[in-house]
Amino acid sequence: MKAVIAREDVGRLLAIAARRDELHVPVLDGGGGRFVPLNAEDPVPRDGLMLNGSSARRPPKEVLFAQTAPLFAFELRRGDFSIDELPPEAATKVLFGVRPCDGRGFRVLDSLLLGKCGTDPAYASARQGSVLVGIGCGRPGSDCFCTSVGGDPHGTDGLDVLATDLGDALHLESLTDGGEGWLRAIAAAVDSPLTPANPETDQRCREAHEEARGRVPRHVDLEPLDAVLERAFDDELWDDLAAACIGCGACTFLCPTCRCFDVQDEVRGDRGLRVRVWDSCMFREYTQEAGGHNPRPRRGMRWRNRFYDKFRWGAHDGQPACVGCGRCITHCPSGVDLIDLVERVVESGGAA
Amino acid sequence: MTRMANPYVPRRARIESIRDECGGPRPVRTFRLAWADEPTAPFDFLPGQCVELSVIGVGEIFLSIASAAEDGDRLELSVMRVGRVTSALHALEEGEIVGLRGPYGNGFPVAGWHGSNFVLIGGGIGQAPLRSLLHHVLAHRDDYGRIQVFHGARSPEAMIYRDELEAQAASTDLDVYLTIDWKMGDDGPLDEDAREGWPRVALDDPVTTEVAPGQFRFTGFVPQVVDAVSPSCGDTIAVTCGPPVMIGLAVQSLERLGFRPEQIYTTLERRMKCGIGLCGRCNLGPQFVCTDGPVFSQQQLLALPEAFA
Ligand code: SF4
Ligand code: SF4
Ligand code: FES
Repeated sequence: MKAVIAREDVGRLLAIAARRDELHVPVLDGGGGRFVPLNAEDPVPRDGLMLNGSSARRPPKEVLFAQTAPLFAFELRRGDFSIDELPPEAATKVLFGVRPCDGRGFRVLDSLLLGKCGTDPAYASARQGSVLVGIGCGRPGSDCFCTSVGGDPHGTDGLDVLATDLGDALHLESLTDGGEGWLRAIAAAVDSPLTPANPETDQRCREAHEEARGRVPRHVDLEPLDAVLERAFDDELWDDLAAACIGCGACTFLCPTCRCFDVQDEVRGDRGLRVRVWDSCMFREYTQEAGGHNPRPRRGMRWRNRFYDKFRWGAHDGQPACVGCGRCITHCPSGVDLIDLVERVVESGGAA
Repeated sequence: MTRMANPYVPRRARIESIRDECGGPRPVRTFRLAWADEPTAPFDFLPGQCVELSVIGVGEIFLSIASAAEDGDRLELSVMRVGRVTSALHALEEGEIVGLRGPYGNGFPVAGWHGSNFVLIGGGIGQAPLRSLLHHVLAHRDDYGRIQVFHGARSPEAMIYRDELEAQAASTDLDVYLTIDWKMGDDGPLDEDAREGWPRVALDDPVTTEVAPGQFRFTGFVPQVVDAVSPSCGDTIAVTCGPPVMIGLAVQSLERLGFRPEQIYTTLERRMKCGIGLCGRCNLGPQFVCTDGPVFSQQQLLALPEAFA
């Protein structure tokens, strides 16, 4: 279904949504923005809601794939232990204000965490029934390049509902059964602020999509890349490309499609949790074996791994595992620019 | 909402016995395990497969299984003390409980190897998956041809499975070539006493180094011994496991002897966490050592990035 809501009524919509499900919205916090839970009685952060302009610094992946998540609990006894499996997430999670690149990011995460090999139960239960209400990007951020990697500022892939900003109103369109159910439920609420869409709002919607596409600021031609990557693995170029990188891992933590994790035991007294914690392939320790061997001792090798993973190995449905959100570019403390790197790799031609 | 099985949860396993395989700065112990809640329940796995072993409260390690399913309702894991979890494990005693999940990984494709001869080349703790394979093969001895086992260590004291290999050579149709590094023991250069029973340099004459029927002893690096013995490549599968440098040289030796990449197999080691293809850590390009490996043929490795890193 399609519906329209006046701009000033968005707060009411969120209150209804929060009454029904566990709602998460992007807000501008001190750290550049992130998704936070919003309760029905919470005041909607009027200025802080990040529904237009740049996307939140931290992508919504942490809502469904927490930075630290328990795998199980245990109790230690003398020379023995018992294990308590933790109950799965019960609440349906609704993420309101997911950018289209981040919606596609969840598709990549799905392929990695609900994949052919195994299923991560915490992600699976958080993801099950989740509703991703997207908001198109009328004014994409300064490093966005979604259109170069198969996306669009109003792309629908991975989303359940897409909202389009019409200035004085939002236009909402459901894209999946889950999105349809959610939108109908909101429309059916006694105090629902939704009004039906009409040909005029449809037309304004199409215009907004067209305009936004033209505003995506950055572009990179990936067409020649695959052929170069075919040959470039043993090229010396990787050490050069990685020269400025300080190995902080910010690019991977902020990437909506990175999922690498570590597993650790946290113990307090005789009780504890085995947890999975985000990790980064940009860290030397990531592949450091206890016996001393490290297959990826140099930063250039680690960058090469990340680059190949985003543009070749991790590709799925014919699209790269990079969704063009631009975060790794905007937030790299050393100014390493992924688009620049793609261009330099292509220029090198993989002349090993 | 349907509740799926949590693949990270280990089952309780009891340490039935602990055997010291070698001492030195990196001692190896073999832990014999039974399921704690069902002591007679079997372990079902292929030789070369792996498990995740937990010292709950400390952490988990990914290990090649050192025994074969044919050994019965006990599982053996040989663990070298190199890090935090392995140190905690070495501190455990018989009767204590560890966590175990698996088996993981592909294992050796033994079904396709019926009728083959074997050349097994191991160094140090790399002998563990080869022991699994050897136990399997010896349990089905008639299905296979000639078996030659090469096994190296830095010194006689650092050699794991030595008694077992020599006993197998004495009782079965099997040739065992043991070698120690003549330059260095764990505490520096070996003196004459430490080298007792190990010919100083006899690489050019394998025959004189036969200390008992089917039992040979050398001093030299494993690949040199392979060169000296020159096993035949006809209808033969070669499997080599050990330190990357040794594997690299052993493969070169095998290739000189006429082995083709599809006849040469190895097990790869990487830092592992999840063991089930989720954490991303053990990738060789688009593949994971924990799920697509740890066993790869040389032919497969030649097509995979970072396989020889
Ligand atoms: S954010 Fe920049 S400096 Fe940090 S690891 Fe990534 S590329 Fe390197
Ligand atoms: S690689 Fe960079 S631009 Fe691509 S999805 Fe990840 S953070 Fe965004
Ligand atoms: S150990 Fe986690 S993917 Fe292999």
